[in-house]
Amino acid sequence: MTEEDLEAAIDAGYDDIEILKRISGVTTGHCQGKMCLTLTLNILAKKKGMRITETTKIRPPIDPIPLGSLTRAGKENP
Amino acid sequence: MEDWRIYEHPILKFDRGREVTIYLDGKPLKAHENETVAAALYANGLRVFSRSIKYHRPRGFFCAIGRCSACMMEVDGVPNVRTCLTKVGGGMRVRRQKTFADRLAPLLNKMSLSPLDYIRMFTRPGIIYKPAMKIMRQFTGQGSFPKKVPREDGEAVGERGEEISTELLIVGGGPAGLSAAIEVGQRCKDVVIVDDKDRLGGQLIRQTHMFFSDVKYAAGKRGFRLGEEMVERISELKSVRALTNTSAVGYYPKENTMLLMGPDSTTLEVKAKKYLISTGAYERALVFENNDLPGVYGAGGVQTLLNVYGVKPGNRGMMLGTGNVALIVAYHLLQAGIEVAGVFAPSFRRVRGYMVHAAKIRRQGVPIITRHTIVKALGKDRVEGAIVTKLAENYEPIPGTERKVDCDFICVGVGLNPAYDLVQLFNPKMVYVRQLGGFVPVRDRQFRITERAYIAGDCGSIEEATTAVLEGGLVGLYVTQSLGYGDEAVTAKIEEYEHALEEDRGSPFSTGIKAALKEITVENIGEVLN
Repeated sequence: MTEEDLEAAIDAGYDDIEILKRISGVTTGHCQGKMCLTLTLNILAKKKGMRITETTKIRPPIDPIPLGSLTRAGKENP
Repeated sequence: MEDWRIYEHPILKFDRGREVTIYLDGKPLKAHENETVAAALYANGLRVFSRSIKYHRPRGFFCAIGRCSACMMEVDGVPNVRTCLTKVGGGMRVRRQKTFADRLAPLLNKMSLSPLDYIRMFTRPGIIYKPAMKIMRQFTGQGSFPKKVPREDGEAVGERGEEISTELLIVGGGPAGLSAAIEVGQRCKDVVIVDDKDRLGGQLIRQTHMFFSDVKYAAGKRGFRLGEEMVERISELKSVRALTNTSAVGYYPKENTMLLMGPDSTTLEVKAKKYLISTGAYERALVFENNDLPGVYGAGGVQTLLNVYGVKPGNRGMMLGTGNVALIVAYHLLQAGIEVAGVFAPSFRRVRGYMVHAAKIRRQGVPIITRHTIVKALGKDRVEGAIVTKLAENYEPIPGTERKVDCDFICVGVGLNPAYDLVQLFNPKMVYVRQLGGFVPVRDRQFRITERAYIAGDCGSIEEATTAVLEGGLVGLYVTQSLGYGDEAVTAKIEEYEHALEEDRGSPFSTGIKAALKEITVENIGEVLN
């Protein structure tokens, strides 16, 4: 993801963090937003000439976890 | 063979443990049992750990504490393992997760596709969609399917299972969490504290400098000693269970359940009466050209590599930022005998951090250059230099003032953001407060952010470690009261802590923070939540 990618999406009208996330995929990569969310919010705020007021919804899991660990693949239900 | 380990340090002795061999893409490398996989690989000269998802650019780790996830590799057949949190094991097989698209990375880099074009690609005419997707699949995803087949006894994938209940679950074993655990543990019956590192202590373990705060127990002590003392006190408390190598992956308010993931991907469900979130902070990144190049690290990441694992991040670094973290890390680099090309910061004030720290690095001949910012990191797959430029009054770069700084790594020490994600899962009211570092929850006088959850430390407001210790202790006492263990002694101690916190925030540095905290503190948390 580059700054230009984000700016292009904002210019095209996707200027809400939730919709920007969905169209560009920002904050859905490696770090899940831990590094890039603040930068994105800053770029968005600067572009719109507004202050940061809204952030994106957080959903679990917040750390990478193997899907197998979430299933009942263990002893209980082989 | 390259070896970036530090063998002589004026303050620290590195207990690396037994020497073992690990394999990187089949090649044997020297490692030690107490090192993480990432530290061991770095010590052997590896810089590119993974590739970015869209443009497949080379990535090295940024944070070294399991946040940036740029160090994800395949370990013993398991894909996407955060190598900075995984301890080395003898004979471990580590693989770089390469995909077909990595070879096309230079081409992808040149194609600047806007997200809009990206999602419409090959959708018309309809006939090419399916075959095109087959090829596109080769470009996507991270890692390959686990080679380990989940065994029926559940050992391979981790047992789902245990459900435990407790009076208090503390997430984050840093200064705030530890301090709270000590206070609660003395009075309550059952406290669980979890941390995703292999030991408690949070970022205290990488602080080699003396704390000079007025806080009586901390003054004149080196940070890592303070951490060790707190961990020792906790180990003496029978009521406190400490789970290390365990991260909180989710909280489900309806079920009042916290999902934890322990070693070997085992899961654990915890139902607690109260929760204390003390997850600390994430390092702030900075936008400039090539800011993802391996060699651009968070100042804290460098500190971890340097002071915890005794591995040199490079031979000559540059520092961005003049806050306390930046100044201290620059000093730690000098302590370890690494050159610092300069400390650069966009601010117009001379130095944002304490003058004591600034003086220490100036004495060693390191220039502190304000009104400057970085515009570009140089290098192909690792940092080979940087371009800095002077700023005009309006913070715009002045053309023609660009100059090159010789360095082989860049530390980004421009501050911290409160760790917001676990906090947000409790559905508190979040507000953006610049003085406190970013999005923080509204809390009441007892530090409650919801009926069940409390907050302490950097995830509620970015402040000093000593402040976190005091705040943690105070919140611990409030939790004690709400769990029904309060007595006169607790009330007296609360007053003592309130007073100490007030004093700790007495310096002019804290005026803005104090005002901001007042703004977001309400009388009773019930009134802001619906």
